[in-house]
Amino acid sequence: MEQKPFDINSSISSALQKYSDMVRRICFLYLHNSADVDDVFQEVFLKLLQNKTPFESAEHEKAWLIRVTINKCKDILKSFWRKNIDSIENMELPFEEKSENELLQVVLSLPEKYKEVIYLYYYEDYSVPEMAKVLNKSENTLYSHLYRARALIKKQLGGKEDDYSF
Amino acid sequence: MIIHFKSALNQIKAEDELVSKTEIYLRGELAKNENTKINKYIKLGLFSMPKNLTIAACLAVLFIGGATGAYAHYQTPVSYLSLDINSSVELGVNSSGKVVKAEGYNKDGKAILNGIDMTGSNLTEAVNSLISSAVNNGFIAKDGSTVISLTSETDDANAAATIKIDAETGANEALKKNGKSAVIHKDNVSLSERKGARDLGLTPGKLNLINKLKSMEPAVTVDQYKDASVTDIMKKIEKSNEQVDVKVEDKGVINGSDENGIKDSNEESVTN
Repeated sequence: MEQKPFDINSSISSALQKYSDMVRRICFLYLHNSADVDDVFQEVFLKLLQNKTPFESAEHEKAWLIRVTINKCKDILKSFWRKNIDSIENMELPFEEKSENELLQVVLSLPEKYKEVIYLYYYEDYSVPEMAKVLNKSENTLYSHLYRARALIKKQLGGKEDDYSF
Repeated sequence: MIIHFKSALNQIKAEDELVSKTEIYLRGELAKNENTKINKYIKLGLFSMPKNLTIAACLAVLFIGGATGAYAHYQTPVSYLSLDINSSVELGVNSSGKVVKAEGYNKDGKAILNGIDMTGSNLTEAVNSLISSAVNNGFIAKDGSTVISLTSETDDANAAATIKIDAETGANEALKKNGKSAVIHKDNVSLSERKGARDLGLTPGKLNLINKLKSMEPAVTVDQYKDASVTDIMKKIEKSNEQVDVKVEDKGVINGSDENGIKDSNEESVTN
């Protein structure tokens, strides 16, 4: 099969146009300062553009990118600097609605392992078996995470959970 | 009011500044990688080749190197034969006994070599061709008086014997084939003597004969006999030898051998 010549500029534009919002949302869930977000963006998209293994489908490519982004965010959070120094930036959520702010604050306050299942299950509409592949975890573990995440959200919303929908 | 998690998160979008910053970074990095790749291919093409190709390239280099070495060894003479009539030719012989070099030392030598390619042939065939060429050029007299000097040039006694036998065989075959007769004179000189002769522009065979004459007649110079034929030099040597014998007889001593340097020479008259 004839391979199309690699056009750097169009590949970059296409990748950013397609996935920048998704990567930004994952960063939003994990990271709290713009410098870290910049780092993740640069590394994740560079990895995507340098990836030589062809993807089976657009879904495969998307799942791969989600996994790489989550891993990268976790790596940053695990770093010595991140563990010992608090960010000087106070995160301001961009939502006009107070209720939206409240819901997102609850989700952001969840432990990482619960945040990722909430995001993938409710936002990306992944099934538990699909999440198991992306996160490389067993389905049972993810069912537990999902259950506990819901319980934590419910608890933190203090009886107002019926006002919210995922 | 029901707030949808999905619609709330949908409001999170990548900032234009973040996207453009990332775009600039990616262009720089990918362009750098492309250049690095190109340089790598140019500078280290061998190492970026697949492993099998690298091995094949190394084997090819070894093979070419080995073949070049073997060819150089094949082309290097280890011993020589000096053939002198009035024409002087020197043949270089490699360790396999093949002629790898032929050089005419004078005009007549170049004349008998002209048009003959004896590279790769054995010494017998090469001498056969040269004598036949000498016959054709009129350098062998009809009366059989011509002296052909065959001098091996080597430090190895066995190699010297082999060279002399092979050369004599070739000469005899050529004379017989052409219906001629001549006197064949055989001798051997060392490789160090060869160097001295070359410095004087003579074949070692001819210089050897002149030196023999000089030992009997000290007044003789190399320049005097440089262009003389072997036949003339040998006649002079015989004449000097006869005079020495007469002088010895006058002194009342019987001596049948030549004590003046030509004792080792092996002369043979060849007739048709």
